[in-house]
Amino acid sequence: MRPETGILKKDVKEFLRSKSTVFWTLAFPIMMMLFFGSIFGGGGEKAIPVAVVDLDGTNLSRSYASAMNSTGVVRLIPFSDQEEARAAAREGRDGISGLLIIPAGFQANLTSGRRAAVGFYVREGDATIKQMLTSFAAEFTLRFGEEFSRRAVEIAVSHMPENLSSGGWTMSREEAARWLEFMMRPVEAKVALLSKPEVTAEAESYWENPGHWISAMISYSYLFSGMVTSTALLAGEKEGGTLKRIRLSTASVWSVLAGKLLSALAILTLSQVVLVAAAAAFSGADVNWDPLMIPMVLAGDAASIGIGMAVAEASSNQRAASEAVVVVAIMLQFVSGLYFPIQFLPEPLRTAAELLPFAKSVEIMDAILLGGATLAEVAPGAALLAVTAAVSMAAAAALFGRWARVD
Amino acid sequence: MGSPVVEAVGVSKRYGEVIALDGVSLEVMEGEVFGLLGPNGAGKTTLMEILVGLRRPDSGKVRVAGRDPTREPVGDVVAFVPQETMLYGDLTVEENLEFIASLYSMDEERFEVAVREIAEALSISDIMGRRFGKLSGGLKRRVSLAASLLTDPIVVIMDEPTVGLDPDARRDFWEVILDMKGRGRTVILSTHYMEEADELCDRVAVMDAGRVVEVGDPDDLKRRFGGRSKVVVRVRMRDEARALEVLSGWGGRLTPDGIVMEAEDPERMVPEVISTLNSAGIGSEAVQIRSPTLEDVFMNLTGKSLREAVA
Repeated sequence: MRPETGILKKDVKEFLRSKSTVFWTLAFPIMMMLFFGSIFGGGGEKAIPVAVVDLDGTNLSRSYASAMNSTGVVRLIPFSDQEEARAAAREGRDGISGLLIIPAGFQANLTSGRRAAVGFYVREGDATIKQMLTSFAAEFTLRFGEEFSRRAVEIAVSHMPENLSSGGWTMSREEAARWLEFMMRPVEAKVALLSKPEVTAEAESYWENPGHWISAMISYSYLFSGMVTSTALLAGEKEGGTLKRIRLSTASVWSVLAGKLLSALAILTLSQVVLVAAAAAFSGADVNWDPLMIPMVLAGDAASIGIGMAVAEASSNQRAASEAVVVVAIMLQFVSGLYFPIQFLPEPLRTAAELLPFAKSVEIMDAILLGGATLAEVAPGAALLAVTAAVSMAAAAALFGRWARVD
Repeated sequence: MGSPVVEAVGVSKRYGEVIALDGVSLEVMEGEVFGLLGPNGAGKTTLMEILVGLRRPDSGKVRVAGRDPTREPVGDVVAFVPQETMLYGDLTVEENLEFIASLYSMDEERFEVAVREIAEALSISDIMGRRFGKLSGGLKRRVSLAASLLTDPIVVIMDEPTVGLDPDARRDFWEVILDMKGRGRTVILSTHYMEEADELCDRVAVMDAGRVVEVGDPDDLKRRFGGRSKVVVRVRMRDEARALEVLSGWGGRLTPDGIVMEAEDPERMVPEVISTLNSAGIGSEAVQIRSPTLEDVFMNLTGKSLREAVA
């Protein structure tokens, strides 16, 4: 067996047998994805199941239920039997947290100028869901009522003459329509919390695309499987004294470097396969698996391995190097747009984060996977990533001889 | 004794202001067990690391098995068994050996033959599947030695091979070293255990503060530099001061081993010492005659006790 193969085999075995390393490189990012995913709704079930009994069974009652369902806040589960629906909601069967009853005569009332009522019952239980459903039912019914009134006004106005005259005062049909709409809703309040950052369209799309987790997991792998593991692969040999054993052998310094690069790449690729598969399964997103991803991922791999190795090689204290790179990786994961958009960072930090190669990587991956971007479109970010890869690899190679010296 | 297989001429090495080696010259003959005896900081490890090519001397020349380790690798002809075991705790014994073999581009067939022979010789055949990190200290040393012997080296250099081992494991390891000598290998070992050097070494270099103070076979060194035999008396602690007083005529001095007195004719002196103590009403716990040891050699050559220097 050649030294490169021996080093690769040994390092991969050590990686797989180290519980803490496997936790930080594989289990931890998946936990973070599930955690942030559940907070920001990056995927999975987020609509609250609500039982619905449509006793009216008309076009309008169906429209009401369908409009409510399409908000995405609730997922209506139809029941034909009112008692069964009530029991299901009371017991929280299949996660059902509320009950909507549309009574008979709903359409008839609305179309004959009478007030129509629906029953919305919220299950006692989770306080947050209870609060959400209560507010949602009120808000939705108000909006539906407004929309219904707007259409009713449209129909009424369309039957009016061009101009209405009364006592020397004339009003056009458009003016009449405007006044009627105004009377339905004379004042509108736009309520927003001052402490909450302004959510840009870009940020909204960040969370609306669960496929983003695939980009996030690839970038996470750069930070931990790439940077941290590469540092540890070298630091471990020096700390454990095993570098002496390697240097005593007939293996050349370049064979050892090649072996270490292969090990780092193998471990990184392994973690990327696991993390991307987990993110794809978690998000269930239909993303654009473009071959352009391959050179982009490889550039990120080279950049992260190069940085990790260079840090270990430049440090005289290997333990300190390992600890420092872990701290840097932990900080970078929060400012590289893995879990939330960079736009949410305070201004000076945001500007700095936009220059980070691993933040660019998230941006590039999102653009390709979610937006179908071409090479020309991601070229500036890709160039930064490629330059980082070239510089860090050159530094790692240049410093390797110095690191490998025992003297 | 054969021809020199290891030669060092005027080897010096500094670490900043600290002089690790100061013009060390020595020759080790083919097939001998050669000991480097000295306290920590004497320069033993630095000298060994220079011999295997891990460090470069600031000045001086070194040749090992006909090669200059500062210019060409000697890993295939010289094995270094370091103080730390320097293997991987998460890998099994066999996986560790397989990895070391890969560093020498050893093919599978050669590896299997080598492992079988070494495992048998070192009695580690039944632990090949066990994780290295879970082994006892003695077994770890054996596996570390096995890893160093994979390439069938001419010279085996061992740095404090029995430090930290219990007496039984140390004796077992001595047998392994004598077995290597029996197979015609040259062994260089560093130690600060006098009995180890006495038991194993054909010749010993006494080192102190980066210099070789004297070289010779242990018996010759003891004869030349060990001084006279000694009578050692042990009394109860509360009687020590009085015993010292009554034995002052023999120049008795208190050491951790007891009251030590140099003796021209120890056989005649022992009954006299016991009688003197009895007359003073002091019971002796033990009285023994001690022949010169390498400890005495070290003391006489350097003015320091080896045990004190190690501590």
